[in-house]
Amino acid sequence: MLVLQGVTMYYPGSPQPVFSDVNLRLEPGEFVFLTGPSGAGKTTLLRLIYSAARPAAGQVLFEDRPVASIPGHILRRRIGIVFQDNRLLAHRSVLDNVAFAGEVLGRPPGEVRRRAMDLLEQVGIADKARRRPHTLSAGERQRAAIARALMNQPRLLLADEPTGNLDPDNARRIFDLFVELNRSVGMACLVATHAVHLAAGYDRRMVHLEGGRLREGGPR
Amino acid sequence: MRLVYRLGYVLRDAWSGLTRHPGPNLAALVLVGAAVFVLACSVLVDDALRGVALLLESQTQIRAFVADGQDPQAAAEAVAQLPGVASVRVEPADEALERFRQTFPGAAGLLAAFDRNPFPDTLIIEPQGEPGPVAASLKLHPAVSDVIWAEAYLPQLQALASSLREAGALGLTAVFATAFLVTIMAVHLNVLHRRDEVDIRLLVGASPREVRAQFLIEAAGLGLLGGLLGATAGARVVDQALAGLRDAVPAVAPLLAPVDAAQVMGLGTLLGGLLAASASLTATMRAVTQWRDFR
Repeated sequence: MLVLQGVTMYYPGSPQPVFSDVNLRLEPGEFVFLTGPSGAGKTTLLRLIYSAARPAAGQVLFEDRPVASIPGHILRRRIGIVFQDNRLLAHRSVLDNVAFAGEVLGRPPGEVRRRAMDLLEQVGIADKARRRPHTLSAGERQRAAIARALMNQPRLLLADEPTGNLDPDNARRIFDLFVELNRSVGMACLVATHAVHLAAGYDRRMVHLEGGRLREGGPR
Repeated sequence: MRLVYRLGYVLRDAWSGLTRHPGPNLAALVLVGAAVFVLACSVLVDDALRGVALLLESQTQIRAFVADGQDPQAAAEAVAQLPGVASVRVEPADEALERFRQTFPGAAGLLAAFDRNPFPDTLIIEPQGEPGPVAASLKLHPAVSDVIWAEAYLPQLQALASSLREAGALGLTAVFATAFLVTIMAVHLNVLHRRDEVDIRLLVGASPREVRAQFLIEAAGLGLLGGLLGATAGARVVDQALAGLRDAVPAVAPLLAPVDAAQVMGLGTLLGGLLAASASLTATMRAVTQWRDFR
């Protein structure tokens, strides 16, 4: 599904690599927490996967193809992305925000609305479908962003600090949701978080990025 | 079918985009309208003044008086053979006298002092090019007693006509370039205002071409409307100004070309649409190639 082979990355102008010789393999349907302190390079690693950045060395393969050879928009139709800042469109209702992802790709409007409603049901905010994002709590907005990321049935869901703006209770509920969606929907998930203690509470694979190295398991 | 759904969505979203961002869209509409208005006014004024320039250029006629005892027709045929002569017309003495009477009706007393028609038969000559050499040949011709032409002021008239044309062309170029830049700025502001929307479109898998198409359709819609409004206003203003000029100076009325409002509005609408569409393509280039991913 996803393979990183000997990936090395530098920040522009810096002689020191952010990380080097990173290897990672994600199987279809697998759930992996990517942990590490702030500034360790978790976001940069995710950006390499969805082709917003190119590695200095090594390669990233998605479904056996180098991501560099896949047009960016095609890749992003297969990968759902959730950010810390949910970036919902303020002028659209929650339902419209979720449906937007399907409409943009030219899917039938009726089908898109039905699927958007189903997804809102799945993430537990169907009753907020007609409301504008600013009237929702931070956790509810993040749920809407997750629903939007799932709209086009991605094979891989990437989440970059999805609980960064949430209190511990809401953060746990969002992680519960990711785990539940991974189980019920079946797409692979790679969730980057610095909340190691929270991730450790789930019986899921963890990889830890620190000091420019990626290793299996949590921090030592 | 997917293309139909996508087109339907693009049109719905274009309408939604236009109504959802009234500020930037109104600014773009006004700027495109203003640009086309100025352009329409420039074109129409240039067109109207072309008659004046042509008149100035036509002041190259040479009048040659037929010498006493010469047959006017024979003189005309002889003069027509001279190099540089395009055409020759005979104005008989009686015709010249009649024209004088009509032009100066109060001068009947003056004419009474003559016992015969004081006007000679006249040859009216149109030169092919520069009138100077033709006038010089005519002065030496035995069938001609005198030659009159705009020797003193013709170069100035020709320079003035040429300046009018050059100023018109330069003005049009400057106005067109300004209109294009202003429209680019207006569309660019609109894109900046909706940067989040662009980023989210790209995030969920829209291609850069699809994002640009969305803005292109919106910009073209605004441009067509702005162009129509600007051209209509321009045609109206210039028409009023020319009407005022005709009333104030009746002598120039025949020289001022009438405003063809329908043509101006059609061309203005098309121009507004093209201006905004090309500006949109330029302005959205950066937005779609520099995707921000909310880090």
